[in-house]
Amino acid sequence: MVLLVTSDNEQFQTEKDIVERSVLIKNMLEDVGESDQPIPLPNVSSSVLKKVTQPSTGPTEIDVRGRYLSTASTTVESPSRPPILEQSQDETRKRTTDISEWDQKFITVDQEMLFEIILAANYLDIKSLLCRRWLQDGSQHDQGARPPEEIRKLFNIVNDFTPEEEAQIKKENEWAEDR
Amino acid sequence: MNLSSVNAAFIQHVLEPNTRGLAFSGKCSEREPNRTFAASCLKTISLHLPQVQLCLPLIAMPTIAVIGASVRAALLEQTERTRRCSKAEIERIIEESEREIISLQSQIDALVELRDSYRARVYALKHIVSPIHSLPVELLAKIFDLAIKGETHIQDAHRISHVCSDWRRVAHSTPRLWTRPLQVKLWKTGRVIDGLKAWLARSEPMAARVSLVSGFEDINREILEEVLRVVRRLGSLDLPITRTTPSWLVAQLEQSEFDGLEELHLRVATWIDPALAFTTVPRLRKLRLINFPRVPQTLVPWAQITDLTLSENPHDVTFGILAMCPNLVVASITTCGFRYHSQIQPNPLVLGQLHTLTLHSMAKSSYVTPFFSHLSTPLLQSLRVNFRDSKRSYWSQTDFTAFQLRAPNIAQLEFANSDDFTPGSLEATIRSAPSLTHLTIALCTGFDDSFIRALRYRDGVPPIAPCLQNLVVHKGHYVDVAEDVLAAMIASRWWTDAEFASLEVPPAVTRWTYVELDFRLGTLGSCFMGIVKHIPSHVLRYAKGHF
Repeated sequence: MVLLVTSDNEQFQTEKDIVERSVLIKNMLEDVGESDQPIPLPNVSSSVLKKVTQPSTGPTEIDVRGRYLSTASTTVESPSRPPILEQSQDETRKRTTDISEWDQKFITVDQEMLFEIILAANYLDIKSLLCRRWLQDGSQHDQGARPPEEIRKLFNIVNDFTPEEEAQIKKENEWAEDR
Repeated sequence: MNLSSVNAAFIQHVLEPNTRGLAFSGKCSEREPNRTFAASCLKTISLHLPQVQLCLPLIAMPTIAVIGASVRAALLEQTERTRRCSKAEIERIIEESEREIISLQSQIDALVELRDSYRARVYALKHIVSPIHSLPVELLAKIFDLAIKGETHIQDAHRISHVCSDWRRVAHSTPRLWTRPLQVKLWKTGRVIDGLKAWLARSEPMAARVSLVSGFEDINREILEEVLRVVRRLGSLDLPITRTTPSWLVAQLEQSEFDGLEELHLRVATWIDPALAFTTVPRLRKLRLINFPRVPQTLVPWAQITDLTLSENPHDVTFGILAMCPNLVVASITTCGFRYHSQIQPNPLVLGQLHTLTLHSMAKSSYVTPFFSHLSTPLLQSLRVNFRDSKRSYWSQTDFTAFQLRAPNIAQLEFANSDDFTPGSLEATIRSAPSLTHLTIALCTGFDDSFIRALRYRDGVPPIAPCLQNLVVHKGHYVDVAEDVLAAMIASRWWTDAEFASLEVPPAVTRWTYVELDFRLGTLGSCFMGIVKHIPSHVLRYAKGHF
C-alpha cells in the first residue's frame, strides 16, 4: 500500500499497482524505494483523487487481459474500473468492451470537476485519463474521436465558426472521404 | 402541439410552404428540434385533407384526425355563435380576428426573437465560463495529440479541429497532430490535391510520413508534385513498385534529396526486378524490403541501416542483405522455411551489433531452425520466434542450441503459436540461455508438468535460468497442467524481503518481478491459489475461479 497526501491534507491508502499507473508517482516510488513515507500530491485535491482512484462495486479481480473478473465466475467482463487503471501494463492490447455505466457516470461530472480531473491527470501523468474519456468515442473504443457536436455538448462549447470557416470544414470533410 | 407520430420529412414537405399567419411549434417523431409552422397549415391540412391523405404515410393519419377534429369543433362553436349573424357581420368578425392574429403574431415574433437572443446569450456565457477554456494551450494540444489514434487519425484530427474556432486555431498551430502516416493515391485529382496540400502544410516544419499508392490509372503529376514539394522533410516513405509504376516516377524519387527520411518501405510486385538507388538519405536508419528478387546492392547506404525488416524475400537475398548491414541493431525477418535439416555452416554470418531479432515463420512442412545456423549474434539480447503463419514446421533443437552458443547474451526469449515444441526442447532452450531474464510462451506446446518441474528451484540443486524474473504464459485451452506443480514452481522462486533477510544462504535464483498466467478457456482453482496466496497481485496475475 502507498500513502498519498492531497493538497487539502487528506491521506489515502492506495494499492501500489493502482497508483503506479501514474508515471509521476511511479517515478517517485522508484526514487524513494520501499518506504512508509507519505507521498505528497500538492496539486491534487482529495475530491479529485477520490474520483480517479475510486473502484466501482461488483467485480473484484482483474484478469491477465486487463479485464475484471468476479470471484464467483470465470469470465465476467466489465470495464468498470477507475480511470487510473485504464493504462494497462500492455497498452497495445485492445479493450473489447463498450462504455460502462461507471464510465458514463464518470463522464457526467460537473464542468469544474472535469477540469480538475484533466489538470490532475496532467500533473500525475496518466495519459489514458487525459484524453480517452473526454475526446474519444466512449461507445466504441476503437472508433477514434467523438464527433464535434458531442464534444461541444460535453464541454459547453459554442460552434462559433464563420461561414467561410464552415465552408472550409465542409471541404475538409469531403477530402477526408474522397482521398 | 404534439406531432409525435408525424415524421420530419412529411412536416417539411407539407407544412413549410404554408408558413404564414399564426405559428405554432410541434415536435416531430424524429430527433429534430422543435419546428415552427404557420397556423394556416392547419387550414391547409383540413381543407385539403383528401389531397394530403394521398401523400401521407399511414402513420400520420391519427394526428391529422386530431387536427381535423379541432377544426370541426371550432366550426361547430362558430356556427352556434353566428347563428343569428348576417354575412356582413361574420365578415367583420373575420376581419377583426385576422387583425388580432396579426397582432398576436407580431408579439410572438418579438418574444421568439427575445427568447432566441437570451438563448444565444446563455450559450455564449456558458462557453465563456466553461473551464475547458482555461486550459493552457500546451495542455490542450497534448490532449488532442493523445486523442488522435493511428487508424483514424485523419478523422480524429478533423473532428477536433471542427469543434470551435479556438480549438481549430490550437490544432492548426500544433504540427505534430498532422504528422501521422498519410496514404496518397497518386491517380486522384481535383479537390484531393487541395486537401493534401493543406494537410501537409499543417505538419510543417515537422517530418511528414507518406505512403504512396499507385493503381492502374495514370499517375496525376500534380499530386506527385505536392509530395515532392515536401520531400526534404519526409520522415517516412512507403513506395510500392508494381508493373504500373512508371520508371520516371522512380527516377524522380531517386534523384530527390531526402534530407529528413528516417524510414523507407519498398514493396516489389512479383516478377519485377527494380533497379533502385536512393543516395541522398543521410538520416535513413529503418528499412523494410518486401519481395525483392535479388540483392539490391546499391539501394541505400547500407552501413547506415540499424533497423531492418525483410519479408517474402528468398533466403539468399535475405542473407545477402543482412551481410551488407554491419550496424544492424534490430531485425525482423520472415522465413518460408528450409527444405532440409541444415548442415553445420563453417562461417555463419556475424551480426556483431544485433540486439533484437524477430523471426516470423511461414514454413510449410519445412525446417525453421536452419535460419539460425547461418547466424552468429554475440550481442543478441532479445529473440522472438513467431510461428503464426506456419503449418507443420520442424524445429531442430540441435541447430538452435548451436545458435544459442553463438548468442550467449539472450535475456528475453519469446515463442508464439507453435504446436511443435516439446517439453524437452523448451527445457534444452532454457538451459542454454544462462542470461535469460524474461520468458514468454504464448500459445505453444511444451509448457507441461515436466517442463514446469524443471523450472522449479530447490535448495542445493543448480537451477536452470537462474536470472529468470519475468514469465508470461498464454495457453489457448483449459488448464492442462497440475495446479500444485505449477504453484510450487512459482512459489519456489518467490520470497518476501523479510524472508530473504532471514535466509542463511541466499537463493541461487532471482525473485519474480512479474508472472502472468493466462489459460484462455479456464482458470486456476483453490489448490493453486492456496499455494501462491502470499505473492502480491502486482507480481502474479492469473484468472481465478471455478468451473
